[in-house]
Amino acid sequence: MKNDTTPHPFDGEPSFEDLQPYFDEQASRIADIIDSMGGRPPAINPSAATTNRRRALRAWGVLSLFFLVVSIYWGIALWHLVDDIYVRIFSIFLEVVFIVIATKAIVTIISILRRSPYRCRDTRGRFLMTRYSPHSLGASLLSNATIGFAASIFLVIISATTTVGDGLFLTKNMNQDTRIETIETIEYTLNHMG
Amino acid sequence: MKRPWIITIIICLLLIGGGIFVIRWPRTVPFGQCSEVYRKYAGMEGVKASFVKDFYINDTLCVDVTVLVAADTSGWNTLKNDFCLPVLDSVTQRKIDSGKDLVFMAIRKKGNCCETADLDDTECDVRATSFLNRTICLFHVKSLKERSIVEHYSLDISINNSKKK
Repeated sequence: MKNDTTPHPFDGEPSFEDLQPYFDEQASRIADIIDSMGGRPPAINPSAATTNRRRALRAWGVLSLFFLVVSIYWGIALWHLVDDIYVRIFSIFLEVVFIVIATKAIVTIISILRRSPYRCRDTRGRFLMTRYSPHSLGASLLSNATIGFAASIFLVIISATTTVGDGLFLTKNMNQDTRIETIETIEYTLNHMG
Repeated sequence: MKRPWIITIIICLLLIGGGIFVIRWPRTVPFGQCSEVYRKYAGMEGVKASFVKDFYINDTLCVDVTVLVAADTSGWNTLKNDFCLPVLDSVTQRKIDSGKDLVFMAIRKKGNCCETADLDDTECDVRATSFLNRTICLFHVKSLKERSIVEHYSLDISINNSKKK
């Protein structure tokens, strides 16, 4: 540009009449560009990486929703399964924690997906989309889900194996003496049936 | 990008397979609920109710059992009325009063304490009543084989004991 000797239209003190052709030429060029784009300004195309992240987030969102539904069902099943009040309280507490984690994951994913990656930036100027790694978010959710399920199954097994004798006792206010008494009643009845 | 979907599909298949496993072999995973009889008598005054899921009759068979124990005379009268227990004759009553227990067995339709089950009813309740102890045990069987094993349990024990001698 330093070697460009073409007189600039704004050199010196041009009048409005002198600049008018320049403005007309620029306006015509812009109009041609807009027409070539179909009459609309050019759209911002997200990068392939951002698109992939969005898809991964959606997939984890669906999985989170599935885990949320299953955890609610599991909590209800546990309530009907065991009658011990302490086991119930602890298992329901676990399920509530798990439901909160799954819900938060879903809400976070939805809020990220609803935002345009080119409008939202954090304080460092990075796009909001790039801050959240979908796989780390999903892996975190999956690990929480696994821990929640494993803990619930562990509780069920404990409540089943701590009974005396055979079978799973589902009686209100069951204690050791009541269990023994019930088993003895059943065995007595079986042996004397006629 | 495909990995999350692969993981999702694998987990879904595992969960669906687990669900089929639970439905196909319900006794393996204790998802069953208490019996209706237990729920009816659980909070009743004068009756102590217990429910045992998967009580092992022998090494291979396990059944659900509801145990009802009358705590007092009014509870026993309630059970006698609800289960249509027979009125004992004087001879039988004297034996019981003398301390000799008689455990009466009856096969009743599932969910109906008074109606006798048919011979080909697969799901029914084997009711065993001890008049001396004022207890009723309901064995909730789900097949003719289970029914037969429970019915002939004491007989099988006697035969085995006599063989050992």
